[in-house]
Amino acid sequence: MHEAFSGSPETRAQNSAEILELTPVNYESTPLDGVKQRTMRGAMPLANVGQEAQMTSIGEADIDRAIAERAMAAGVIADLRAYKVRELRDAA
Amino acid sequence: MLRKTLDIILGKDLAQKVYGTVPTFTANQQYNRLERQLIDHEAAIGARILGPTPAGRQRQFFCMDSHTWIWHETWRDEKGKAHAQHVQYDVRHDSILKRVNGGSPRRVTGQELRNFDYAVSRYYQEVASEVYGRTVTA
Repeated sequence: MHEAFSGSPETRAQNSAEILELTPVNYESTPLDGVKQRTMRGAMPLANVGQEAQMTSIGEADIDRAIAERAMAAGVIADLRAYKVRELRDAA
Repeated sequence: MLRKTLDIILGKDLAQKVYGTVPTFTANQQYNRLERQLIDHEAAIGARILGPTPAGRQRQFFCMDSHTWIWHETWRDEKGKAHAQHVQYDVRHDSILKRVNGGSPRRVTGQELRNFDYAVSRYYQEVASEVYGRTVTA
């Protein structure tokens, strides 16, 4: 298990942020329903996953794994939510 | 205490008529209610990330837990019939699986996978910042 998924919510959020910042996406994409195009800035390693050349050199399995890891890192939002709910409930 | 006393004196039915129904929440219900409110807020941001929602549609996109993402849409057709599409993305350590309306899971690939990657990364950045007050550099 990646360290982003252990420790306190604060630690996990920080670790997730690092994963997401180290491997940001930088391609023109149409979100899931293909409605609108946006660009994310600040690209680094896996940044160009959308480019065919890199798709070939890295390998699709590696890209799948990297994207899955980013998705898990982004999932730390659920921890932040639980933390916030407890905070609000205790304050009430 | 007054309410409890009236319940005893007048009986619960009559006391409710006099004072109206005052909702009371157990700790669990309160937790669920607060969680639901936060998810609603997140889901609205998620919907925005996916782009403009066509008129007459309600869209939600949100992180349910660390391994599950939900994209839910409802709309009515020209005859007024209600429709819903529920997409669940399950994050495995090496892949993303997708189920539409509870159907069989299939692996997400290609452009759809990149779009999912974009959406969840963006979701993390915007929700962490807007809902939870975390500074996230993009």
